Amino acid sequence: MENSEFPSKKRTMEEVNDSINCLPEELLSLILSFLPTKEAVATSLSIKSWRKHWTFLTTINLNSNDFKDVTFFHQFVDNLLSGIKLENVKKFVLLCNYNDYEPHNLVVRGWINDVIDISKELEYLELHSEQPCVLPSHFSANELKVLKLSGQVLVEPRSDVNLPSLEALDLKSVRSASATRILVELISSRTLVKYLLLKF
Amino acid sequence: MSSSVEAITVLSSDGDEFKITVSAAKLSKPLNWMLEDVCFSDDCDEVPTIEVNSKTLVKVIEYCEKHAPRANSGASDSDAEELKKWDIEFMKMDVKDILFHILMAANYLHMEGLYDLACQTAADLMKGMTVSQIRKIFHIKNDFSSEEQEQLRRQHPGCSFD
Repeated sequence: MENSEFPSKKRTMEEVNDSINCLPEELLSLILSFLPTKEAVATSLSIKSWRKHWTFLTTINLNSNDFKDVTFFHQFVDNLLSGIKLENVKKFVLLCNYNDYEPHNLVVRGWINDVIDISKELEYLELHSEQPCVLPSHFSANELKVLKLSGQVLVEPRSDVNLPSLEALDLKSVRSASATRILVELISSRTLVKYLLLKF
Repeated sequence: MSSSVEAITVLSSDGDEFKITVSAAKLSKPLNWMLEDVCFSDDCDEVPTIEVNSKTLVKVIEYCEKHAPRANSGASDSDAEELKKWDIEFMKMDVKDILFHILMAANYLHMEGLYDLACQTAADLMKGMTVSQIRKIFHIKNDFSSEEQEQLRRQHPGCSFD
């Protein structure tokens, strides 16, 4: 049946196969944004004409479980954040499912700092950390709508939290002292959160 | 719109004729416009062409017919559960076909549900793949020289190439 439907099927299919790299730019970007960032970068590096595409990712989704070990994970994220156009990033998800990695706190704090500092349009931030990780003490993101923190994410006393657009706050198993600090800051800045999930 | 019309005939880009019911065509804005055109003009014999090949159009119509009752009337949770299972079976195809044909068709026909489903399925299928595995599924020829390849590896530590 297929042959009658596609008289010159063989040739046409070969052309289609070759032209996968001719996907419209916007469609390619969309596909990349659906992929976990590790696979998005790998896709971008599969062909010369796409090799810079990963620097335009607007959605970052990183899970340490997807990497061979912690060192690879850290190298990958370091490289990603130094190459990507951070000002375009709208969604940033970072799940650190490991323990006993000495530089973790400083490094991850640096990453988060860079992201909230440069990504002026950041709308969604999710951070999970199995080992203690302190948020930057100046935590300000004007466009942030969703903030999800879980595990050992800590907030220092006298932190300056400024999230005027926040709509949803999800604090799962975050230490009560840290959660309280965020909430007090939000209440004192009169931020109206529509959705709040607390689980200690 | 005339209520007597229950299905319309459309042509694929390969020139094959396909029938699609009125309620199923409503899932796509462009199809819906065609439908209104066909229904309003009494003496119009022209069969509209859809710029999607036959193989893909069969799948798109199958999706529309399955999703039409829920989209048009709303349905219970058990129906939603069944539909989810159906979607998984429906998407059992080559990832290249999903991305290149289904996704393009969903984009062209403004079908958000199918579009999201295709994107998510492709993302799931590609999870954990290395650069060379991605080249394989897309039939991409590696156009980097070995020096460039080495440079790429150095520039992207933590990235799986093989």
